[in-house]
Amino acid sequence: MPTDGEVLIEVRNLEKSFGDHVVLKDINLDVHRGEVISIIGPSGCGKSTFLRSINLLEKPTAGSIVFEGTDILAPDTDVDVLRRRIGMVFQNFNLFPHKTVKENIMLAPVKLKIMTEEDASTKADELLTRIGLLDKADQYPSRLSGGQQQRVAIARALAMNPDVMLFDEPTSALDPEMVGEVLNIIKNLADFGMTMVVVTHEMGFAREVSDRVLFFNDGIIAEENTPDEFFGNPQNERLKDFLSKIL
Amino acid sequence: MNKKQWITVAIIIVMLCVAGGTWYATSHNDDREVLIVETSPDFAPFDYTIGEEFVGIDMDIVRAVCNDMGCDVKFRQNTFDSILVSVPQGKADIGASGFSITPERAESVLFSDPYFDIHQVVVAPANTDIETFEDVKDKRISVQNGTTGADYAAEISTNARTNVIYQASYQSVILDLLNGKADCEIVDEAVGISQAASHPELKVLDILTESPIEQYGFIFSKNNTELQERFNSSLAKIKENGILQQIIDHYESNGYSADTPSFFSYKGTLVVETSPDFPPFEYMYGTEYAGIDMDIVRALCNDMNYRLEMRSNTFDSIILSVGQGKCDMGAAGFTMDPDRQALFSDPYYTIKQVVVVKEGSDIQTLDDVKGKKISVQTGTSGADYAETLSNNIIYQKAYTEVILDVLNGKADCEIVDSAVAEAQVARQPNLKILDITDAEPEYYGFIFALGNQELCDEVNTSLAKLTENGTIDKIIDYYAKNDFKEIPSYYSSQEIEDEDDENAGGFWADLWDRFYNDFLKFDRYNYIFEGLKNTLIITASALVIGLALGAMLAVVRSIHDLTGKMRAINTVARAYITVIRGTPMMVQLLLIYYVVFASSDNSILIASIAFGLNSAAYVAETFRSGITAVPKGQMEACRSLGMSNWMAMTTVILPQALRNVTPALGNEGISLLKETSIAGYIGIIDLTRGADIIRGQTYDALFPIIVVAAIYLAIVLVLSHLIKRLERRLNSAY
Repeated sequence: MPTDGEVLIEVRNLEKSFGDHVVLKDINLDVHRGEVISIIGPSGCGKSTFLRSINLLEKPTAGSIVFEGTDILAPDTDVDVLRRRIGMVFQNFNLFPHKTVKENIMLAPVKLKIMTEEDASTKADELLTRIGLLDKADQYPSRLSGGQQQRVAIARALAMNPDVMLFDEPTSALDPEMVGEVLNIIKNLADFGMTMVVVTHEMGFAREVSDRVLFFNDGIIAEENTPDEFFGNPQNERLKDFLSKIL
Repeated sequence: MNKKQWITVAIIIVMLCVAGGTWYATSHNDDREVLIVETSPDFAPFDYTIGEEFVGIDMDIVRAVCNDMGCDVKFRQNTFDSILVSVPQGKADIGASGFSITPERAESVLFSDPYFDIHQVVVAPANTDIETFEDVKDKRISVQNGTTGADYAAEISTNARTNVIYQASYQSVILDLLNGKADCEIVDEAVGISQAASHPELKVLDILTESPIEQYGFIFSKNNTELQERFNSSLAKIKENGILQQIIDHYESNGYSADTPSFFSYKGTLVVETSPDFPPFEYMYGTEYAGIDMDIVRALCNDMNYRLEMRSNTFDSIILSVGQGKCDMGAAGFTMDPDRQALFSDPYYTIKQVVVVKEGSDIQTLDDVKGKKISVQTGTSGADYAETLSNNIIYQKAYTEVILDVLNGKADCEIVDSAVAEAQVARQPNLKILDITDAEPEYYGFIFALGNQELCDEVNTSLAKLTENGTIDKIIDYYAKNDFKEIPSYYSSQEIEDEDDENAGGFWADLWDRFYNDFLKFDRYNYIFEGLKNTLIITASALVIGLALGAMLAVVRSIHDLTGKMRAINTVARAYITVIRGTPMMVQLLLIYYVVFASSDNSILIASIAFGLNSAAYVAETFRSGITAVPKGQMEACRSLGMSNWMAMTTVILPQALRNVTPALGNEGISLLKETSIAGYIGIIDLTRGADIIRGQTYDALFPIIVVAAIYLAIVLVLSHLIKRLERRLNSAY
């Protein structure tokens, strides 16, 4: 378990509120290189907000987030540059409907001049092979199933060669028979040592793949443990309650 | 799309292409006859050159005559003797080199009617002792060989063999005088004056009263009687209308000196705006400006040596236009009124207000008019006067509409200047004039920008001269003699046509006559083509400006909505959209034309910008709603990949928004096309204005308006079809 590796993301005293409504209070977390962290919790507990705070899709109200040594909340930080190293996969895929599968993957690297057109094309083919969708390269997303779309979304994020991947309930919008194919891809990433933070409701997946599991409740990390302890011997009453309902 | 629709669209496209093609062809089909004129340019003031230009009385008369004949002139240089050979051989059409009409020459060439009478004078050094004809007889006389002066010298000299010196050129003759080798010279009067003008040490003695009177004529080939006749008839015309005398006066007033520029080498261009819907003062005869004002302006320009450029505008706008220097002078029957923001010339016409009613009206006295429904043209003094009589007044933009009001019973009467009333009654026999008003007589003047006193004075001087020599009266008489009907300009080469239709044909023949009148006569269809061209240009350019600027505004607004950034630009953008959407297009157009771009007169460009700026505001809001309809996740996905707001907008959001709003944008394009129909207000001939002009000329509203409506409809159908196809393609894309 690589919890003793280099700290990639360091979250300290993070707070977020929308007006009077406090969503996150005093969150502290270190994400180490190569580590896979799952976040579970009831809806509205702030887990998605926390994940989206990491790449500043939500702006925290207080606290600090240091990513690879850079304070991403500092006013002079170029967030766009940092985001290139933080991949994100959304619940609703958010593929670009007017671009083909391959164009979706190539768009950002080429537009941001990180890769040449040829390099990006090679990379896209490689990623499509990896997710098993090379034959869909020239299709528009609307022709793909939900599971396939999510796989493409993962490939699109990977095309930027990120240092960490954030997954925001990647299987929640999928029909049950498609959940597996997406989780397999994520597991595969974990096997290759990708650092990942996954907000999920898939307990089996969390138990199998994670190095650590966090339980968010009422805007705080109510429990944090190894998967075996977390699921086998939960301490927090709310967690016990939560697990009893969904397992 | 089924087959029928395809055929319709194809027909419409072919129609438009033919329209465009015809316009192109007619506007480039300028094959005027060119006449080659030979001259020996060493005979000031008749024939000489300044730089490359052929100048002199002969040259200018040839220009004026050929202009009247509708031909172009090409001048060529030759020696005096050789011209007498090359013209008969047909190498040149006309010889113009101060040819005296003699029976000998008439053997080999045809002469035109004489255009100049001349006699011989004596030129001598200023300190000469010659005083009378008798004194000359014993003197040493220098002459140019072969001239009338040479013959006459030989005749009167007491000792011709020793005392007459025959030189080959006038230069040598003058040297003889200057060097004292001769005591005097005998030469044609005008040439003598010209020489004395160039050499102050010489003077002219007009003492040869017995010398033969000679006449100058132009020469043609012996077998070219057709050209001779045409030339003579046009020559008669420029004698009659005074242009010939003006040309000669021009040289005389410059002392016949050899550096006098051509009468036709203008001092500059005078841009004159008029509102040609006000017969008999200004109207279009075919494509030609005609009317009393127009012809007085022509006479003025001839007299002042200005090239004349006429433009049409609406009556109200001319005053603005003059004030801003978009034109030099306004000539549209302007009543001299101290309230008008312009400088007035001296009056050239006096007028009083009369009432025009339909035959059978119960209006008989001024009291009857009070409280009646009166139709007037906006901005005229008739309008002001009408306000004192009634508060039930219809204000029309053009007299055409005023007459229609009276004819159709929409108004009980109109109040109008008497000359105009006479012209109207001449055309519409069921109208009659009632001379019952108590309005003060008024005076028409031309208008200039306040402060342009210089031009005003110049025009006044010339106007006084033209009044003095009867030119103005001649012009007014010409129109009066023709009952103030719409006839070709006094200076036009067009014949007056008898427009009284014999009402012979039945309904269809009548309809055909109207159609013929509206479109075919005088090539009036050109107004429609010109209008179509301008309408399409303005719509297309405005659409481009609107789409580009509108998209930019939408992006700014959306980014601000999303992130709160770009606050300052967003405020500007929002203010812009509010102002544009909150004011009428018409007002914006006038504002941009008369205020923002006051110093430019490229009205098509200005209109394109105005319509483009207007369209941008609507396009911006359309685009913004399209952007809002794109799911928020799209933006988040872009940002999570490290793209900037701007890049995300332009590469991901806008293309999707575009598909959402294509139908709305199509509608915007269609309404833009139709909105351009107000472009006429800034003097552009667009499709609508084209129909307006025809209507103003023929008093027929039916055909021009229906045809124009059909053209708009055709364009809209084509546009809708294209938009539908684009939509379908976008929808099938992903």
